[in-house]
Amino acid sequence: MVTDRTRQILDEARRLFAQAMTSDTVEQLRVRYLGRKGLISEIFDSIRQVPTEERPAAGQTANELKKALTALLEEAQRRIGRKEVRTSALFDPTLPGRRPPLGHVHPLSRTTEELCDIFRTLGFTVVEGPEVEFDWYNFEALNIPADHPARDAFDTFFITDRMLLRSQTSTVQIRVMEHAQPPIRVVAPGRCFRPDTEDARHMSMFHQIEGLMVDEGVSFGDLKAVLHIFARELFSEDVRIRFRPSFFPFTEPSAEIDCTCPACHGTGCGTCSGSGWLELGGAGMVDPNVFKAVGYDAEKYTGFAFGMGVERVAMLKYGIGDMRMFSQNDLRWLRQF
Amino acid sequence: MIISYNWLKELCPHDLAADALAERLSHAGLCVETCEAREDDWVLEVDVTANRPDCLSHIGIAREAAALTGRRVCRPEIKVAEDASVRFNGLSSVKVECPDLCPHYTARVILGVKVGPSPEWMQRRLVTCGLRPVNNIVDVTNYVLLESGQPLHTFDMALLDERRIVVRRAGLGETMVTIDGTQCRLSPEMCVIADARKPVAIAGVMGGLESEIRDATSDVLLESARFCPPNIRRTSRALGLSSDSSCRFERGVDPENVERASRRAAQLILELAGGRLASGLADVRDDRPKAAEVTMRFERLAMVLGLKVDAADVRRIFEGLEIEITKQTRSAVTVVIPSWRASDLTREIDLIEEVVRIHGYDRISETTRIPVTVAKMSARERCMRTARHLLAGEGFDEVVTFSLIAPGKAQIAQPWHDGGPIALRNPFSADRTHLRLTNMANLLGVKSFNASHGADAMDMFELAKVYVPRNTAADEQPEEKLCLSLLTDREDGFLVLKGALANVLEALHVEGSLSEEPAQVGPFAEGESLRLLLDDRLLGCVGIVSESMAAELDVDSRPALLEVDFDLLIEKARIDATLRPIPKFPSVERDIAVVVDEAVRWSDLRCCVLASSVEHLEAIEFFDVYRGQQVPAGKKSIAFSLTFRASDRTLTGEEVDAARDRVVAALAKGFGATLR
Repeated sequence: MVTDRTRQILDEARRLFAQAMTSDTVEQLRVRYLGRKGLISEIFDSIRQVPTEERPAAGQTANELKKALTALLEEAQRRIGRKEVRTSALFDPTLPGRRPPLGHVHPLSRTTEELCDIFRTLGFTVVEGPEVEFDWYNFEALNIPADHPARDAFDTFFITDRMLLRSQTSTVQIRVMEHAQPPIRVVAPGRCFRPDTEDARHMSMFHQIEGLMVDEGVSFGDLKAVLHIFARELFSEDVRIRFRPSFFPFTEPSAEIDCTCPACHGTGCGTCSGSGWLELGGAGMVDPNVFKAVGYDAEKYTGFAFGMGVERVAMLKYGIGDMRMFSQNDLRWLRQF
Repeated sequence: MIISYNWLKELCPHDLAADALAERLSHAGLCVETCEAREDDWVLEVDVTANRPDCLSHIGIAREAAALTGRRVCRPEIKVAEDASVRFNGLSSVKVECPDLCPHYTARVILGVKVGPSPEWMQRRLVTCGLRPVNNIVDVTNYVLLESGQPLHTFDMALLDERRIVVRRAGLGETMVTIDGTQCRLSPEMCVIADARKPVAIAGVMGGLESEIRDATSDVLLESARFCPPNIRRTSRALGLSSDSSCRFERGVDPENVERASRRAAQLILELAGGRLASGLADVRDDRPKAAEVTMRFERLAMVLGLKVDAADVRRIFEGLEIEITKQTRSAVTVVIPSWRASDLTREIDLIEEVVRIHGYDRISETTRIPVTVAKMSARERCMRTARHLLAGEGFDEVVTFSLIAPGKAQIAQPWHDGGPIALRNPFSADRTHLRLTNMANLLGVKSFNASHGADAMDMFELAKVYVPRNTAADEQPEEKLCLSLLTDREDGFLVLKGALANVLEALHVEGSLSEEPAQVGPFAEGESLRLLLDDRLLGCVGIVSESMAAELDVDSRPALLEVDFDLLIEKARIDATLRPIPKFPSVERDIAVVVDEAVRWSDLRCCVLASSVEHLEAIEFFDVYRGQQVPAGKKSIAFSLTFRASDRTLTGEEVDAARDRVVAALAKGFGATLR
């Protein structure tokens, strides 16, 4: 009798649970079957009326029924739960995502990191040098003698007779070469200072990156190759570079490096004043007098060096028109990077 | 230098239009900045580099144009008629007392000139080149300067004491008024042109007002000389005076042109102002620089450039530049350096540059193979990047501020140095005179700037150097300490910054124990700042800007600041974590809330718990402080969690409870803490 009743309840339960569509219905069914005063409870109570020898069997049947009903309940709860998450009117999936505020790395840092990464792939090790330097490293060792008009281009801030704030990162060339023998392949990013009148293209504090490669048989062709690969990585595959003869005391031959304007790809636009070309920096073969200053055999070794303004590169890359923005730190500007 | 296209074409008859010429010159090393049409001429502004003083004249640039276009230079013919009846030696004399400062001095005399305006063709050329016409005598000297690069000077002989010249060092305290009206204080380092009594010109720089040519001048002394370049530069800088003459003497003039230019000027003066040229001249010469010979090897040229240049091309280039070839073999070529290139072309490498700049850099191909070598990122770089990007991810914006600041600003906070900052000798603005000792002052400045531009929430950091002096007077370089500095104006800013630092330490896997001690540093309020230490070494400080400092700096709200020695962090960073095995057995947590007096600090409670040496205590973590209804006045409730774990078994509930009770007992004993 218990068995018949059990089967009946189970069949009905299966049907009703399958039909249940809301969690309220499911709850009602739970109360009906598994609640304190529910059917299972009733069945367990009714076992008392069964003859003693039949009680164990009846009890087992009741337990099995309870297990089966519990399983049906849980399955229904899971099913309804999933559905209700999807269709609840209180949840608006079109709301914007929750965003903890994002900070921003300064464009000069970004640019320096990118430049170092590019040169690292070409085998250049990143090194640094002091900003407060000696006159010898900033001038004489770089083939800029005292009382020479070449010094005009490298006006400096002085601290004592011999100590100054470096006006170019080329000082690091000397620092590296005086402590190491060739082969040398380094880039040196860093801060420089010049008492320049400040305007959109000049600041008294600025950043440069210097490159130096010295070995037996290094040629101008190697310099061209390295800089072209670099420019392609930095801007785009179709960028071209050109070299115009120039003068730096520490290189011979010397050149100014131009690249095709990233904005118009060399066809001419406002950014490049219609010429299609923009200045990138300076370069050349290391002057033998520099090798002499650091004790290298200028007959055995040759090398090239190049220097670029980091602000300049950042301005080209990001289309920034005024150099003063970098140190103004207007958060409305910084937060765009 | 500003030059006239027409004048240039007269000297070098090429067939290029003005802008085509400008382009050719620029691509060979003479950068033409602008090329503008003016009436029937074009004006080219040429940026002559310091190594090419020979191009500071029309003839010099004509030489370049000739080399580039395969033409010859057509120099003007110099034919001067001397009057045999008057001799220089009877009219004047020149004594050079300082040949080291003036290695060559020439003088000629022209008697009975008629001073007046110079002809229209000369005035036009002078004006085109940016000079102002004065009178026919002075204009001739300027004309010859523009033509061949030799600066000249003319004196009214009647105004020269004893009508003679002495080239000497200035005496101590001597003064002179220059033609531009400046009273100059002279010194014995300076070379002057003097008459019998007084200086009449600052040699190579500027003439004196007293002896300049005027309308009534009749007898003219014409000077053409060469001076010691570094000395002229020193004098020019010391007096703050520069001129078309001084900039040429500084760079060096052509020794072979000194006397020739004098003759050329005499020719023009006779032509334009009449008069009679006395025969003979003063020609005092101390040095006679010999033309140098330099040899260039073809193999070396090919190696340095990565390009082979034909011997025939090399020959053509040198000949075009008027560099005479004295010997040529299969392997090398030997040349004589012309006098006007003597300072610039002294070595084989200089000749190599001449060849390639005319031949064209674009002829050099890029090498296709560069030897492979490994370049690793240094620990320093990795630490900097990790910290930078981590902080950006946590909402901090990176700023870059000036290394040079005003001294008052420098003293706001001095976490690293008790003395004063390093001062510049020649600052160029009053608010950038000293090297900063901290980044924190600048961060406050950035906050002020942005606040006045409408910014609300600001979280920022700077990773940059401060300059800690060592023994500056003894030329000892300062320590350039890399500091990580943070600022926030959030409510709970102090704790936000401490948390950010903790995250940086974790991301860098910094080894060592961090400790803190209360300290009153710089701009921070009493009781609201800490000194931070890493293994008992000074790491930095953190604090909240005091009311008074905020008012003084005109900063609204009281931001929190933190600054740490990033070099120390780099030293202690392990970047790559050392893995520890995952614990085998689960941990058990117990949360505790104790009521203590207000004055009790978290660090004290924590120390007490750790000191109680309770077994299996893995971690203790603060999570709340509560004041309110359920807590008596003058007291607060601090809640924290204890995590227990044994490495060899699962701890039982009873063991953990007992441990917790021991902790509570220790706190009760130490602080009278009661459980809440």
